[in-house]
Amino acid sequence: MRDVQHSTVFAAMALMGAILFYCILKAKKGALPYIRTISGLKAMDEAIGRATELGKPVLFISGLADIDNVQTLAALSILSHVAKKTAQYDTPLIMPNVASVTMVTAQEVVREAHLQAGRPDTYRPENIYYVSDEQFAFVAHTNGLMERVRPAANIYMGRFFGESLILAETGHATGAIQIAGTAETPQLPFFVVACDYCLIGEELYAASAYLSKDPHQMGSIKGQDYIKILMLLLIVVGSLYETFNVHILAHWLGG
Amino acid sequence: MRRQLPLLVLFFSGMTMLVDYFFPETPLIHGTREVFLNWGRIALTFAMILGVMNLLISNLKKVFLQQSGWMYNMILLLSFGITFWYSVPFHFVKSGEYFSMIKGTDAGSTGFNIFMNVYTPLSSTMFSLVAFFIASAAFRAFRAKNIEATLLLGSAILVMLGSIPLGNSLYDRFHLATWFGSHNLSWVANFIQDVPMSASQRAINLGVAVGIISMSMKILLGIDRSYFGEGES
Repeated sequence: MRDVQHSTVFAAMALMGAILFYCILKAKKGALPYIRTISGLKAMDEAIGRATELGKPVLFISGLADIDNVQTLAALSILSHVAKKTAQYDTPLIMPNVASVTMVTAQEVVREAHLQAGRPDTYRPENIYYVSDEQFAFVAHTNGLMERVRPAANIYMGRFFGESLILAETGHATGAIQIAGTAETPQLPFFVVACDYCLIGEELYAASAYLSKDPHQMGSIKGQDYIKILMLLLIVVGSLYETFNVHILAHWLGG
Repeated sequence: MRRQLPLLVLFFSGMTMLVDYFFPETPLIHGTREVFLNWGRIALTFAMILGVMNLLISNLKKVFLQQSGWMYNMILLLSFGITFWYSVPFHFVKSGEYFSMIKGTDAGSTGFNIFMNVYTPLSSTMFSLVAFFIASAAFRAFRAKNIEATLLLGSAILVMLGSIPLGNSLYDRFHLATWFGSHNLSWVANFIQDVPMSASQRAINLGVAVGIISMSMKILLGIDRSYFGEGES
């Protein structure tokens, strides 16, 4: 092991892994945890339904990061659910992409979703396309698309940067239902203000479990809650230790 | 096998990176990691060449077939051609009686000027839209509809006034220091940003970190395969 900090991270990872694994096994045996309603995910079906009624497409944007980012993977998990619904309702799904690898993966996800919905004939690979990996070139295209096509529902999931407000405000101006989700804290206020629903931070990662209702994944959500309780305890104990000038915990945590 | 093989590759490469992070002194793991990274770099280089070829072919096709919006494809091809020509690694420039060789991306070269005088202003123009959108979004967010929105409005006014000289001038002019203690408005603005705002941001970040660990574990172990297009594990 490199140093104290690395051994601390290793110990924490092992502990968290064990908790998550235990919760997953428990959920597999039938002890399904309760997950509170996430309004942003509940509204997703509503938004797709509205797009179907209006005969307009659904726009999905998976953020500006490439496939190696966890937020993009979480966005693709949500895309799988959205694509299944749009395939069932025969509503067009448009997805401009920043990264070429994400585009190919998204095409595969949507194709699979159409197959699962029993509508392989309605799959349109040309609706999931690459635009540019330049931030504002992509924004210029997407804003133009929103103004021209006027999608009834805009879904922004993944990692966003300075373009978040430009996209969300343009979408708001076109009158679309907007659902956003990101773990980028500086962009959250923009999405909260300009969108109808917003998944805040970890809700983006919980979305896959919430939507699939898969016991393995739901178990991990319970595990996350236990880890957060442990963290809270650590914060309280650490504050008390530091107040009384005991630095063992701070040293162990690499402070 | 079509599903198992990618999952196996994913698990093996992911675990190699993870183990190498904690035990970099293990030669076998470290060597395997380097091999994976080199494969990635080589694949990326060839993908870039393929990408350029694909871009040219698909756009040329649209121009020749005069499909809808073919003018835009032509502009793209022209821009690509001009930028590529002036940004290729070396150019000969005549200075006096002699020719000197400069890099296409050096300061003063045409490639550099295209980047600085075309690309940068275009990007800045798009980014400047944020200022207008912030104004319109703030107008909606700061309407005092309920207690929470009123608190948001109040703290926003304090932070905005505390960040500009006018705020502190007004604070002194109306002798507000006698009411609110010796601290000025900048202190109040900093306090709001450093204490309640930082606390809430850290709370979100802690949740995000746990979410990332959980998601990474699910992906590594093949529990979450929805990004493959599968609904259930």
